[in-house]
Amino acid sequence: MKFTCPTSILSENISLAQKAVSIKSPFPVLTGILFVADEQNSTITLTATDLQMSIETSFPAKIINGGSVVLASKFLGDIIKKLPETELMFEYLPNEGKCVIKYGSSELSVATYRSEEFPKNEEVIDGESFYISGEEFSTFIKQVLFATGTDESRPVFTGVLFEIVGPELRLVASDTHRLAFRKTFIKREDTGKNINVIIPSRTLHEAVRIFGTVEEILIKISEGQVEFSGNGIKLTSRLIEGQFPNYQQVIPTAFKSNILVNKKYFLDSLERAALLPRDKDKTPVAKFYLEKENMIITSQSESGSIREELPISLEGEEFTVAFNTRYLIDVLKVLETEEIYLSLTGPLNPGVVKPVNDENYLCLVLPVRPS
Amino acid sequence: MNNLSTLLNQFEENIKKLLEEYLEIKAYVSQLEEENQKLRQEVIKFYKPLQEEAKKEKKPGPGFQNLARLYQEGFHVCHAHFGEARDDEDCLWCITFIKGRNNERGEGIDEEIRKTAP
Repeated sequence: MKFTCPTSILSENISLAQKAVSIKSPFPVLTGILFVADEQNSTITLTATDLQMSIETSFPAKIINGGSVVLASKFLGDIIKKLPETELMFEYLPNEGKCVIKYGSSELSVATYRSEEFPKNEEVIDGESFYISGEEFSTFIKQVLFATGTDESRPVFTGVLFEIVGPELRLVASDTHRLAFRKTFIKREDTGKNINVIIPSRTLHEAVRIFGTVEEILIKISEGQVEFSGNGIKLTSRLIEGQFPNYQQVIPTAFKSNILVNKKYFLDSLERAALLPRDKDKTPVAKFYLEKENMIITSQSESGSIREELPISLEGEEFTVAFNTRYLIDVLKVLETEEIYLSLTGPLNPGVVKPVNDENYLCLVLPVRPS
Repeated sequence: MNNLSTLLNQFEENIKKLLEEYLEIKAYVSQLEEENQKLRQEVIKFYKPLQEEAKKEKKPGPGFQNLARLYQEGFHVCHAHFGEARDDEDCLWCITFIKGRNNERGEGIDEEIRKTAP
C-alpha cells in the first residue's frame, strides 16, 4: 500500500476514526485504525472499532499501490497533529512490519498489525431506515441526552429510546430521577412497522459530533444494530438490549400549579444557587417559593446563602418545592425558547418543564424531599 | 544468565501468588452474588404478592403501605427494578406506582403534553 495525501485531510479523518478505537482492548489490533487504499476509486477508507461501535470514513487520495494495513492509532493520532501541512507519502513495508510516512525530507514510521486480523464491519441490512437533517438531529438528541443514566447495572437507562410510529419519531431518556421526551416527524417509507430500540448514549454523543453539521443523515436500524451515515462517514453501533419501561405512565396528566418564567433569568438564578451545594452530600438543592407574581429561590450551605426573586406568572396554588438545581439547569440549557412553563403537582410529584410554543418536548424532574 | 533465571522464577512465583489471590477473590464474589440473589428472591417472594394485591385494589390498602415502606427502606418497587437497592434520590417509576398514578390507558402522549401547558 502506497499513497499520498495532504496532512490536514488525513489528520481530520484520523481524529474522526479515533473515537471508536478501543483503548484497553485485550486484542492489540483493535487499538489500531484500518487503512484501506482503493486504487480504482482513488480513496482511502479508515475504520476503527471497539466491537460496540465502529466509525468508517473515506477521503480522496492519490493511490500509487492499493492494499490495506492496521496502524497503531495512539502514536499516529498524536504525531499527525504535529506534522507540517504538506503532501504526505505513506508506504506500508510488510516485510519490516511498519508503515513509513515521508514529509519533505523527513520521515517517521508507525507500527502495524495485519489487516486480516481486523474484525469485518457488519453492514446493517434489512433494517428500517429514515432521513433527518443533521441540525435537527443534533438539537433533538442534545435535548434528551443529558437525562440518560450512567449506572451500567441498569443498561436500558444508559441510552436513548428511539420509538418510531409511522412518521413520528419519539426520543426518550431517563436516569429514573428525570425524564426527557422529544417528538418529531421524519421522512420514512411507511412499512407499517413500528420501531422500539435503545441506542447507547456514547454512540449518540459521537453521532452528534460527527453528523451535527451534515445536511442529511441516513439512519438505518436493524435487529441489534444502528447505522448513521452522511458526508462519506459511517457510524455503526450495537443497540442496548432490554425493554425501556412504559414512560407514558410517569407523565403527570393534571397539575396544581403552572408557572410561566423567562428562561434566561431562571437559568442565571439557578446557576448562582447551584454554587451553594447541600453540606451533607454536595447536591445542589434550592427551594422554590411559588407566589402569584414571584418565585423566590433560596439556597444555603456552610459557605453562605442566597435569595433571589424572579417575576413569574402563576396559575393555580401557591406552594413551596425543592429541586436539584443541576437537573433544571441541564434542561434549560438545551431549550431555545425565551420563556418556559414549569408545571407542578406538589412538593413530592414530578415537575414538568416545557418550552413555550413547542408541544413536542417536555422534561420531567422529581423534586427533592424536604429534609 | 543465572540472574535472569532467578528473575523469571521470581516472576513465576509472583504470578502464581497473584492467581491464587484472584481465585480467592473470585470465589468470594461468587459467594456474595449467590447471597445477593437469594436475598433478592426472598424480598420478591415476600413483597410480590403484596404488589399484585395492590394492583388489583383501587384504594391504597396494606399492600400499598408495605410497598411504600419497602421503598422508604431503600428498594425499588417499580416493575423494571423490583427489589433492587436504589440510591438516595426518588425513582420516577416507583413514585408513580406508589401514588397509584398508573396510566395504562395507552393514549398518545400528545394529549398529555398539551395538558401541561397553562
